[in-house]
Amino acid sequence: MINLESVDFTQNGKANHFATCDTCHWVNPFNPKIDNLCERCNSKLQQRKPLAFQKTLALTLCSIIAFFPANLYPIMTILQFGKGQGDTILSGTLYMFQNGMIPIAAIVFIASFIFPLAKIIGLIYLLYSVKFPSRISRRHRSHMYRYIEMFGPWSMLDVFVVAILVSLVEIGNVLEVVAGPGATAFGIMVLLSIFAAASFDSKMLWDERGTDER
Amino acid sequence: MPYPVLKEGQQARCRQCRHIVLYRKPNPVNRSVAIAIAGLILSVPAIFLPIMSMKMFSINSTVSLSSAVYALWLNELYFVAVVTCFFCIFAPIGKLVIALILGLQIKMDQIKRNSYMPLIKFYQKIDSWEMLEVFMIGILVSIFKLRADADLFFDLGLVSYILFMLSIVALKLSFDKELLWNKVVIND
Repeated sequence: MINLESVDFTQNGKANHFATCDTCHWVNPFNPKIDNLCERCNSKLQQRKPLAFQKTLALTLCSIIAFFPANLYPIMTILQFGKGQGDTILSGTLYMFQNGMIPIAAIVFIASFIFPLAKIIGLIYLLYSVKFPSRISRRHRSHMYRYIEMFGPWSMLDVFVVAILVSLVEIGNVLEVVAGPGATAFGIMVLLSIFAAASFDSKMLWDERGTDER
Repeated sequence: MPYPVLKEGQQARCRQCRHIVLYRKPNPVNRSVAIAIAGLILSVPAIFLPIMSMKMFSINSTVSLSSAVYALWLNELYFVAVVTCFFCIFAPIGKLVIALILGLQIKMDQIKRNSYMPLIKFYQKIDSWEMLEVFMIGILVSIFKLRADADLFFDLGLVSYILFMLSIVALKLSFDKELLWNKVVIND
């Protein structure tokens, strides 16, 4: 049990030798010299995720690499009488845009292009701001991180659309939708970026350069 | 360290970043048991009944959640098929089953030591991987894509899918993980 009177509230939990359990959020006393286990759920305790910076950087770089095949390869092909051209995510969006389906094109474009890109740029920026001074306040950067985490799943939108169309559009030899390799690359990119966001430790943002900075 | 005691409906925020640290949801146990039962019943029609059908040259083709996953598998997109199956079928059902088991354990006042904690941990693991609402928007987008070229008909599966999705959203709003953790007895 922690005696509240001995806690220095001008300092963070790390300086006060506490650790919040990542699993059950119980606040435990923490002894850096030994392996600490949570009093409540027996999970391993850590004040900061070990190697969070390196892991996030590595996974973000991987998702940047996967970003290219995801957008360059066709995610599906609409075959009319056995013929047809592959549609990448961007060309599909452009087609919808030209056909007057502007709101729905905007949703697809934002969810499957803007979100992944913003996520990657955001994570790179957050990593940069851990090492170098940043103009954005730490509170706003924490918010930024939460949004990055929250928007992750929405990038799967296009993959699900492909799943529905592939299954639904099968009118004999007349009209058929076939999935393309871009869908796999896209799914991998989304997964990698979700893992990258999860491996980041938002407490790193509050660790750097003293407590006076807001 | 004990949390400050919050009444149902109150929330506590972080001093530094204003993020909500703790939020006591109103009537969490009864609500999540009810929602979990409803969601599990709805999951069967939502997954297997056709969501919509398309008619063209007097040929009819339908799509359901399960057939969409199967079609991906047949298209040799094994990775995408497995991932979709997990995100849209296994993760939501897993959440509902765990919420039901845990809710019943609390309601009957019989917390099973060896299953209670692992189940909460498992719930937390699959929580962020459930993407029913994204699939819902996917249904909308495909409706718009096909609307101009083909006749679309909506089936009972769409209604049950929407209700299934709403039950997952409702579970998110009523299932109180912190309350469940607070029931774990600490032995020093």
